[in-house]
Amino acid sequence: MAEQKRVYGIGAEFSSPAELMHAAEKVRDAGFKRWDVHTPFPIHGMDKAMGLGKSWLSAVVFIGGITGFLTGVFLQFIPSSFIYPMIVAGKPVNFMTVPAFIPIMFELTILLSAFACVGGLCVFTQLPKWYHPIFNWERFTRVTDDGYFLLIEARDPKFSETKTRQLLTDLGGAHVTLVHD
Amino acid sequence: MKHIFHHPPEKATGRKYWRSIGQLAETKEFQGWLEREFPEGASELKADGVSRRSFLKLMGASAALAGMGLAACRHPLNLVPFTESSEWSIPGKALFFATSMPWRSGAEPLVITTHDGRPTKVEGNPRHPVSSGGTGTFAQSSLLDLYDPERSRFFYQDGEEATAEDFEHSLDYMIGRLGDGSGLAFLAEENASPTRERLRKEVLKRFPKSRWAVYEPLGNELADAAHAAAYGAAVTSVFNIEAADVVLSLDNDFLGSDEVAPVVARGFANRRRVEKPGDKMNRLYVVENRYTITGGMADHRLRLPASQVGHFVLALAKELGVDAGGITAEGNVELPEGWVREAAADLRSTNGRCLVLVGNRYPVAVQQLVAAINEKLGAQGKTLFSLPQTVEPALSLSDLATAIKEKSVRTLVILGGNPVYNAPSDYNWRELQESIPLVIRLGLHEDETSRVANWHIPAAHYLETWSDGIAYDGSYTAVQPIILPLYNGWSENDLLAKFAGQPKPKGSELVQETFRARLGGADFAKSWNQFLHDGFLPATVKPGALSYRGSLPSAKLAAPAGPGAIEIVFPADAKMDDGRFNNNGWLQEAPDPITKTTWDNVAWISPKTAKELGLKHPIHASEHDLVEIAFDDNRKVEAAIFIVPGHADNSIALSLGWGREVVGKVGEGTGVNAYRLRTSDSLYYGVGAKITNLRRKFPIAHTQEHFSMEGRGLVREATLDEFAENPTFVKDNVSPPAPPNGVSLYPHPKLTSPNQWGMAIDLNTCFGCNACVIACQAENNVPIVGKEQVINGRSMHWLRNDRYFVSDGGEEEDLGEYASDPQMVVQPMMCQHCENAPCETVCPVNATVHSDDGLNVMAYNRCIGTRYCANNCPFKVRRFNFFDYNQRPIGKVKVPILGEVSGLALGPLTKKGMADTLKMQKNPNVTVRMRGVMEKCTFCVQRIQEARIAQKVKAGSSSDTTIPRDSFTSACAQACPTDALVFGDIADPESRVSKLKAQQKAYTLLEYLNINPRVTYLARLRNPNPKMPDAKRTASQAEPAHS
Amino acid sequence: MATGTSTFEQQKAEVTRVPLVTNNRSISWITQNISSIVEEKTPIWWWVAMMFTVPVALFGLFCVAYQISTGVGVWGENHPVGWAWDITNFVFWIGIGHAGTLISAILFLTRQKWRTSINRASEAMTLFAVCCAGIFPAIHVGRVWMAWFLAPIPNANAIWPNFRSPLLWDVFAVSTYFTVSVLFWYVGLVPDLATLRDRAKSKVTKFIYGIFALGWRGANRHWRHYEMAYLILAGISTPLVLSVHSVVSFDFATSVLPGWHATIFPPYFVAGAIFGGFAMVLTILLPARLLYPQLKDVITPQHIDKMCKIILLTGSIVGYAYAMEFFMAWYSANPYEIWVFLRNRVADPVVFGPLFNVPPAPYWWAYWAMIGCNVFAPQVFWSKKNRHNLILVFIIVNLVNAGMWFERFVIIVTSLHRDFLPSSWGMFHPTWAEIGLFVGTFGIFLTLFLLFMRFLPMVAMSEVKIVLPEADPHHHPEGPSHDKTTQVQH
Repeated sequence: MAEQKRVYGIGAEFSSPAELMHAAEKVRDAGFKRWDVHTPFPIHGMDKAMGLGKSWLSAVVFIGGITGFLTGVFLQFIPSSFIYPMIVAGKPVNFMTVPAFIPIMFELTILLSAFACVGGLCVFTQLPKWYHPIFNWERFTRVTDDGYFLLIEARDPKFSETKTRQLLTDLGGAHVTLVHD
Repeated sequence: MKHIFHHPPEKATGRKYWRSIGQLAETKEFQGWLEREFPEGASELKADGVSRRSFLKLMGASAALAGMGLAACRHPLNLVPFTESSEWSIPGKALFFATSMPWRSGAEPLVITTHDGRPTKVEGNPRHPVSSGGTGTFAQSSLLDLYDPERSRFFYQDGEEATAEDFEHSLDYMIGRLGDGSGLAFLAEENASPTRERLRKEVLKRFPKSRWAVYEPLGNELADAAHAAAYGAAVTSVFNIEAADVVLSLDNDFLGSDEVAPVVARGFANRRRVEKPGDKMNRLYVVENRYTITGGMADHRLRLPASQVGHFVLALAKELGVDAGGITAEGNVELPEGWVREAAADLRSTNGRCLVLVGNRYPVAVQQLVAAINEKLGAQGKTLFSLPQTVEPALSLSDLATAIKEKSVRTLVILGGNPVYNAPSDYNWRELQESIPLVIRLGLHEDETSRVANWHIPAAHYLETWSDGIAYDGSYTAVQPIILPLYNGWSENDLLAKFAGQPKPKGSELVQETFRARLGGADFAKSWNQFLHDGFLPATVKPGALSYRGSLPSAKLAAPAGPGAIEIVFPADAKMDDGRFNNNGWLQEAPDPITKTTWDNVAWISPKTAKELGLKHPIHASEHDLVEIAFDDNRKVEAAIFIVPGHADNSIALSLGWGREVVGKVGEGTGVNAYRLRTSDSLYYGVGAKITNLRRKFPIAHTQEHFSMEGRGLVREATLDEFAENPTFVKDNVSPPAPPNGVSLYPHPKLTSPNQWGMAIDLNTCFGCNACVIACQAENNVPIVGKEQVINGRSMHWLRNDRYFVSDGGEEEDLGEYASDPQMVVQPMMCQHCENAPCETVCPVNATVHSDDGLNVMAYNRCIGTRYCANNCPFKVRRFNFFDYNQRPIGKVKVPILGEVSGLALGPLTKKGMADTLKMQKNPNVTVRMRGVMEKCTFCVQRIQEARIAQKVKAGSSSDTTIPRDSFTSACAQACPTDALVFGDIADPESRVSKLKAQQKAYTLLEYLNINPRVTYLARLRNPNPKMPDAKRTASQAEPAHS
Repeated sequence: MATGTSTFEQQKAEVTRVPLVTNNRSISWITQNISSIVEEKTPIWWWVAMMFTVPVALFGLFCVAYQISTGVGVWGENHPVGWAWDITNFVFWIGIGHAGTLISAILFLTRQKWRTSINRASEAMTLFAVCCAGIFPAIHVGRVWMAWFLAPIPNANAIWPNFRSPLLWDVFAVSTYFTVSVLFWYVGLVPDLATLRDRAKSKVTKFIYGIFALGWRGANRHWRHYEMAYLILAGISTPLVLSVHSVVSFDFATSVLPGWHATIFPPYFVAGAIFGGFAMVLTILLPARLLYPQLKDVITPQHIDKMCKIILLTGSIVGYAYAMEFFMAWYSANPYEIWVFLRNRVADPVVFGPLFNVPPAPYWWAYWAMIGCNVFAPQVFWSKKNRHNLILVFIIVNLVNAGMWFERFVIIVTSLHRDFLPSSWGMFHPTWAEIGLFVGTFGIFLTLFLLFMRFLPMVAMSEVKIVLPEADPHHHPEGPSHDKTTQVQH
């Protein structure tokens, strides 16, 4: 085992979303900062319970969308109106021709929004990250099945191996375990 | 003699005529070239590809012969530079040479376009009154025959390949033993070439007892006989149709296959150009059994079995008070009440400014009677004229046949023609020919006749030979070689010269001799140069009046066709003529003017007769009913029927010239041979054939499935009077209506060029003769695609002639119901160069856009072939290369497992590339398109650019880049014998096209789409005689814009 | 938020009636039974199925190679019918490709919880359908090797693509649609891949699933961004899915051709796409349900019932569009339009031909096959009994699939074959090469779907778990059932 390894944190398992939520509220009130809950599916209200704010991913996507839109505008107008203004079916080459350009502006807006969205997700969640200490915890595999976990990191200033262990036990956490790096 | 290179001043059109044959032809080098190089070099042209070595020699020879049209015959694969600059030849610049095409009804004056010594295009000679720049379909297509890779290349002795030397030796030996020539006979084609005539006389002088026979399956034998009887043999007659106010054509397709002289079509058309209300035009009555393009132009048309036309003539004679003499007729024919009476009255009312024409293969008696009628009407001197006969009478084929039967012919020399294929079936010509000890055959192709000849000699194409001819107006025309004989062929003059005891001519000597004789005293060199430059000497003899010495024979016209007695008519084919063009892909794929069929001939039949025989026309399919047409056990053929509206009942038309047995790949297995049915006493029609429905189907490839216009205002028609009353009828009740003028969300972008190209098409002078279609094909390297592809609807013609039948009856062809007696209209259809072109906006890669001079241009190498433009083209004129038509074998090929399959569908598994000679025909200024790209009419953009460059060169630093008015034209417009198509600058109000577009009966198609086509149509007008019984019908059938 | 709550109330009402997952299955039951499909030994029927689909797919690819090497001429297309089966099949497949994204996105936004059990499979179906669709526009061109001219990049021709051409809009729309669908699908897949990773026995599978699971560990600090991302993707996919088929319809609507030139096309095409898409979803899921009984508790009669209702609705919309087209042709009094609808399509030999006194249209059979399958067949779904008769449902949805193919065939071929100038009218006859290619795309589609069933979770486990009562943080096992409804969907 990893006795001499550095401690990453202490994790506990809870039996139901309700208990996990209740525990989360307590940990939050205890003033911990570097901790997280792990669940097989998102639990509504958990953000509040953990004292987390709104995700700002939407802002990133908005910027992506604008970029896409402008790409569409320039991609079409520069060649069609300025570099190679060709007479096509007697249609104008000036801004009057914009109706024909709308579909591609739209599609590019969507495309770059989607890229920004997924890209932003990766950045915010720092995924992909194929190694994480928590995977050393045997029981943790149940997190993608029906396990509800709460883990407080050792890096948290309020962390103390014994007190934290005690706290989690009091909150009704089972299999309270020391997770090593 | 050294030639200092002087570039001649360039005309605005960039057209140059060759000037100095004499200087060159007489020089030693010239003779030397020929002796040294010509036979040797040429003899290596055997293999399909010309070997580089022999090619270089030809190059040399060509270089020397520069200006005589032989500038550098270029090997298509190895590009070899000129070793010395040859006169007036600038690589990439075309040279033009005047010549003429020999034809039975008179030589057709032509101007040949050559690129680096390769003839690439045939045009009419604009200086010659007979042509005035126009050409017929055959002249246009004859170019492909020159390059036909399957043309005869080798001498054959009894089927064994031999050399020219072998032949010359045995010929000399043989001639030496001919004595007085009592066993010698010649069989030639109709050709008024004075040089040939002169040689013929010389041969006769040397061999007094020799025979000279002439045979043309479609020839004027009977017409000449009738003519001789009526006017004497010393003269021949010509008619001036332009002078006739009323023309009655008795089954004489003078606008089509019966008369190729463009002057006739033009003369007729000139009387139908109606510019403004109140203008007069001539009136045409047509009596015929089948629809011809002449019948399509008729103001009154009577569909009558050919065997009843004689009866009609008798009725007409009676009506006009012409004594029919001893001519009587079996059986009587019901003619529509009043038709003959009113037609006769109309003819009479013109006091002489009228013309009655009859088919040249009708019984002599009938033709004589027509002569009498013309006499009675006083047409002589007004519309009918005489020219002195230039050709001595010759034996007919039947005379020759008798002589052969009597074993009095031991040596037969066949100059062209193909009697084994096209002689009347009752002669059994094959046996006759086999019975002759020695048969020498000069032919363009190794065909049926060569197979039973002891010697076959490859003939030189008329574009490879020195000769001369007499044009329709009696003028003397030149036939000069434009290229060295590709396949070492001999001309008939070469052969006759040998018989006349002269050496095989080296060049133009023979013709010069003839010319000298005609010329009299004048400066030879000068006038000879002029002659070759112009291509003709103006007619010296003015046409005079004919003196009628009417003595009608006593003859009894046979019982006509009727219920139970079906007649078979053998018309000349609009494409194959008598079969000589059978291996010509352009003509094979050119749609028949009436049925729009390609690659086969069909038995034309009327809806009524078809119903009686239980035959059906396929609906939305190409499978046609097969019938057996039999006169007796030997005279029978199987033919596919084609129901043609307006066809006479109890009459079937099966055109000649198809079903060749020995022919190249192109002609192989196309059509059925109607000559099998044709005997010497039924040269034009035979009554009493037995028609059996074989209950089998045969695929027929046609390019237009639908007969009716479905009431859409495409061809807009009115009578002359209606036009006078309502000059703007073309604009009336257009449905859906055109958008109000100037309605647009945005202004059309500015077209900056000083020239704006457009076209006007006068539907009143277009007959649909196909000359433009072939001209376009030749000019723009349009490929042929083969029967199977045409059936799949993939024919590639950029320009097509849409044919519609117009009737007031509620026939519904989707149910197999056809109008029995409709009128016919024709509409040339090519890219309309819409200013708001629907095809452009949908192309994802901008491969088709608008040019600043108003063309809808195609960038072939940009096109990826989505076919979206073709779908969005309202006129469906865009053509897609579904296969690699230029590179892959057209038609079936044999493969191990699959057997016979379409070569195109095998694609990469087949051999790539086209015959070298065919490459030589291609117009170097036009891209040869690959598979997968779209193509279409470009308004001959290469010609536009040529003119523009010439103008810019001329303009120099000045800003005058406007191309001079009407200084050039598109290929179709140039070929059109009647100027029905006019191309030009619509920005210039004085140009011809602008003037036409300004006419009140000008309209564009599908106005409601607001596409502003650059092609304008001038409405079709008819000039019915109000007194005629069918006048009402004519008027009511006239299609107003809306109906 | 008002609407939010109102829909929420509806959920409440609905969910209390019928549970979305029957038989009170537990969360681990879901994990166990869905994952087992992937983990258990490959069943025989799967191999058998592959033995059919793979050769068919390969033959389809052979037809592609033959066409590219020889020319478009190996198909039956001609002048005037420049497009036929190629574009028909393209629109057919792209239409099918709409249900997936639609179910995932639109139903997600409208809080249709029942979507969770079917969205994964239908998204996969979307991708595979779009793959098949993509083949046709790519190879129908005459010079495939030049197709890169479509890309807006400087080139030797000094010509840029024509941004006014609907075909170019297509290129952008379809490629965007495919890309976004892939992202949406994959993002949804990540937690389930993690499940498979954690359950994997062998190191290899663990490694492979692990790679694609991106190290997902269900952390709530991830879930909150994840949910936002999913919501946004759903948000942008909704207008996208509507735009794609609108753009496809522009290929026709912006032309001048009677029968194509119609402003009704975009909504009509979108409705048709949803219609055909749901039909194809059912065509796939009904057999899957038989093969994997455990799916019966997840994909319940309730789901099928709902999808039948949507098919009925969209089918009726499509029927209305057909009628409206016909009406507009008559109302426009444009003889060309009237001809196309009456004389090229509607007029049959028995009823309408005689009625309008016109001869039968060359393609009347195609038109009436379309009407029968698309308008009449779905009407049986008015009855709940029929909606729950799975055999009947399966037959009807397959009729709809056929009908939707005929719809595209009718629009394309019958409009082209007889348009403005009677002189250029013609007929279209398919060849073995294009028939083979069409059949081949089914092979490709099914092969891909079989692979998907075998290697990826067919049901979005993490999403299904949410709709289980025990997933609710305020849930107390002994508590009254209505508590269940207080759970809120993300």
